[in-house]
Amino acid sequence: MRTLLLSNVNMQPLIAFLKPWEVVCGEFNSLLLDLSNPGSLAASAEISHVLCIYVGDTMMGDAFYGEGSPDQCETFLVALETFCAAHPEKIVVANTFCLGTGRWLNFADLLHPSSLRSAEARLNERLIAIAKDNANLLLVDTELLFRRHGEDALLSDAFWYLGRIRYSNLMFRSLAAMIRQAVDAYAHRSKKVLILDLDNTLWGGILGEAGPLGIALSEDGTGRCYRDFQRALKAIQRTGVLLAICSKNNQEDLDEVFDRNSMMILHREDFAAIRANWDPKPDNIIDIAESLNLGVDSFVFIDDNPVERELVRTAMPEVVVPDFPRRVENLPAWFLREIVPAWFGKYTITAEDHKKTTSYRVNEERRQLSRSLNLDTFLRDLEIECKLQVDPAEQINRIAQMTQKTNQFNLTTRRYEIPDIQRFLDSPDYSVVLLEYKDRFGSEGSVGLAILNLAESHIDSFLMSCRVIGRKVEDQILNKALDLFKAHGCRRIGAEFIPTQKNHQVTAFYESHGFSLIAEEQDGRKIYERMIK
Amino acid sequence: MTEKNTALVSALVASVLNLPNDAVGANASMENTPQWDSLAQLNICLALQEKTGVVLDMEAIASSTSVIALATLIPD
Repeated sequence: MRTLLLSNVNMQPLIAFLKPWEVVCGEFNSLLLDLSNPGSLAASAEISHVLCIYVGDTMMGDAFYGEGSPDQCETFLVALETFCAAHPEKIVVANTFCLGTGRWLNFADLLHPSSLRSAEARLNERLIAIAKDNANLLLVDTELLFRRHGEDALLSDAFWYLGRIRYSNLMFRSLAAMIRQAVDAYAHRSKKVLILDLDNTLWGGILGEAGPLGIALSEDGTGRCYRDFQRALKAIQRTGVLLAICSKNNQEDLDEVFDRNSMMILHREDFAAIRANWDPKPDNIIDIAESLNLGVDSFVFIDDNPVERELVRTAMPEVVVPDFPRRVENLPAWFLREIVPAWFGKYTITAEDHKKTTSYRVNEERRQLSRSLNLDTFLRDLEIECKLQVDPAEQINRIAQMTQKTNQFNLTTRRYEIPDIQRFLDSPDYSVVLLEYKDRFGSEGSVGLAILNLAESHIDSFLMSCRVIGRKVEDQILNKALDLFKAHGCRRIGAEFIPTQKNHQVTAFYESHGFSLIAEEQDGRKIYERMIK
Repeated sequence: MTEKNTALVSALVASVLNLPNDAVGANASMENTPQWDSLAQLNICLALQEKTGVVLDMEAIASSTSVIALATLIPD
């Protein structure tokens, strides 16, 4: 990844805060020129990410002082839109317009025809419309930084007039963090599971001492802090984050809280897994990982007890264990400002994200059924129905997300971003096959994916969500893939297995599906072929 | 100006200029440190503001081009 930073001011200090990214800075005030010039560095193949980080006041020019119209902003928006459309393979990051509070119209600004507030809103509306039409444009809302830290802390007048540097280091640091987190969110590099302690974390006090109705959980005072924290947890659960409980408590006591305490925002069904017992927490976390079929490196653990945090940190360094806020009143804001963007950032939210907890919870019921029946009876009993779609353009976000997030049943683990998927969908040389799954317990949504390189008769990617592993639906997507190759005139299909730390369960997948091993590399990569008649 | 402030500024200048800590002594300045150009001076002052909370005016930024001069800007 090589990144180009473009601006209309001196944005060079931002580079130090973006490390370890490899960032080159465009010439001073070259934003418009670089976006518009087809021969510029921005347009060249060596640049994968283009950061357009500008200062809105400066781009407004004299219009900031009520003279004329913000022509340069209009020019920028046209140049940005054209550049994004011309370079779908690049990820372009742009900040929103956020004008300074110094307003020449002062109190009249809201109602006046030359209102800066209105101009700012119009420009941002345009910017959002461009981002909706161009999946490779990633917007960062810098207004949030100004609301949080304040203009006095983020702007620097002395540096502006001396060296055209508009921001303080606090702004550069905060902005760099925001850009990094947004790019991670865009690439679906967020964590999947949030594991929560109970006492003094989900509510105030000790359940075993205070009882199910005596814990602090209310609409006022300390209890309100925990209730708002639960509201925030419920909100991020709807974005696809799985919540789980890992607490030293009796399960029966917790059941009483769920059944009797009406102040609980979170209910039993909001949790994908619950472990309330007296076993060491690392053991319970491993158990949760096994029951969800997810690696612990996709887990974040929140617990008020520093001893428990240290125990988990030491025993399982892959788990993210943030420090807990010292003051309970900071708990909801700390969670939404610090934890969510850092570890659970989302840039788009798919239909699957909304129902993810239900899906995992229903899986637990399926597991119970599987224990009581043999495999064939179990699969028959599930009444599985699969729907296969070829090149479903409307699922582009989900397809990219699946390549980014699937680890275990993933034959090549090639990670793709939205512009890559767009290329596959648009190209006659590729076919993208998506499998939707449902059974008598409910729908799992899109869970299987194959990316086929028809031009080279090669299976580029083949993966299944861990939620449906063991239900033999992979045969259906593979058969569809073979049909597509055949229709394209291919007779010899190539495939490969690239080993990672997590995909050992599919080491022999192709062997067991009629493919012949033709080579095995030193790094464990296996090359296969299969002839089709 | 204390020794502590001088050491703080030396370390900060070294960090901004990507030099080893001991490469920037108390006598270092824009004159005798090749990496310390006008852009670096702005970056050093930005870092000093953030580190110490002191708000620098244009004159201080433009004229405080040595470790000793920068250290005197920090209240003891």
